[in-house]
Amino acid sequence: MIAFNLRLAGRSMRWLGPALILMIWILATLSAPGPALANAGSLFLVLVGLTCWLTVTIGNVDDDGHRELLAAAIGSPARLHRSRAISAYLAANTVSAAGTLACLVATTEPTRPTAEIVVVGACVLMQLAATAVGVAIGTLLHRPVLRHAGVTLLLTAAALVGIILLPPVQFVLRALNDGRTTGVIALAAAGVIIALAAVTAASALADRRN
Amino acid sequence: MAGSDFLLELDAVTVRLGGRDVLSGADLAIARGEIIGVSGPNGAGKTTLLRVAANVLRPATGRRIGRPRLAYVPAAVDPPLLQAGGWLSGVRCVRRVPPSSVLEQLAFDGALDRPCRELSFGNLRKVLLADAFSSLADLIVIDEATEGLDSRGAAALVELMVEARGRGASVLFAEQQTQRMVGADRLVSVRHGNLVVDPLSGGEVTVSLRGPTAALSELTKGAEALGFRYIVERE
Repeated sequence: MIAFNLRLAGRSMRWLGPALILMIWILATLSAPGPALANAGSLFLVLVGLTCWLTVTIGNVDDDGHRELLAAAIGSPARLHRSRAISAYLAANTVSAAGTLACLVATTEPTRPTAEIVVVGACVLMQLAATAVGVAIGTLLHRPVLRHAGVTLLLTAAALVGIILLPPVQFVLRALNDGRTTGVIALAAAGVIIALAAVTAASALADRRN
Repeated sequence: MAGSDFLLELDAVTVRLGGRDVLSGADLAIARGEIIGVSGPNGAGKTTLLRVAANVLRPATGRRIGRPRLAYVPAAVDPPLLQAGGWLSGVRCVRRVPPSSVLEQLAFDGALDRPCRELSFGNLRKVLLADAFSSLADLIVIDEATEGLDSRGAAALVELMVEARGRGASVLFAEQQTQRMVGADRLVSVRHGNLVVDPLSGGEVTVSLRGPTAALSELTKGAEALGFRYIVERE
């Protein structure tokens, strides 16, 4: 079902918006290189929004009738919802890999070989954290849970601003700007936990949706 | 009523939509290899009953007992974005038979390598039905079963339901009109959210057969095989 979800989303062409924004970010980063960790910090902000958009896109790719047909085939609406969240996470990480690569390529600071591993690891963890947080927001906001596009848009904007302004997130982003990786692992772990909780809650709501 | 005798049981199921009971205290037990037809006027709660049976709608109160493998054909589906063949191969990994054989039986005359949106409504319905009847589902739930089907397709649908019964699968289908309910072992009606046994059940069932002359022989054969009395209404 995950491959099927991705094929449906691929055919819908609604991924074009997030992909274009990422491409613009990559081009901007390549044309004005900075330290890799600082790049990873700014990519985090972009990826949270993009993944959220992609998750909503994958969730809303079909009408109610088609979604119910698939839900019956897979067992329940909750299982379908989970499969779509996983699809979104995989798709987001596949697309985001280009961004992470750009973070590392567009670096201005020559780093020692030992530091390189830490930098690469931090960039990858920041990508995983961003996509997890994006899925967490998106999965709670797509149509099986929220039915009104306007409400979804407003809540998405509010959630994105809220996440970015959270003190722990600000702390990690500031550390990355200063060339330190403090809190990156904790942020990635927290992102995954938040995503799991959000997907569980959204699946329960999708199952109860009348 | 032993639980194991039934594929699925709905026990006092109530569904509330928009603050009112769309389905109220519905009890329905579906045995293995049983074909049940659900009739009722518009807005009576047929689709809601089918959605609960298909496990795509959780009731407000009551229980849904049993976890059969399911196939659900909703009344209305926007054409999926994929090619018909690609859609069929993607929805389920494992099938009982290739969907193409069921499509042939249903007299599908569209192209599987073309996008679903290019199919006629009837051919799209046939693709959805082919998905359901080629699946390993124990329970096939079909809303507005003959909607969009030509007479050949409708006759083939009856054959498919009877074949499904033969291999122990059950079919729950809804129709607006009782005379279209050829093939059902049991008929139930939904009236204002309440499930009632259709007066035709348990007695002699007379069905009206209407359609082109070429298809009537297939329909009458189907009706005879099911032990129905029938009235032929010529167009």
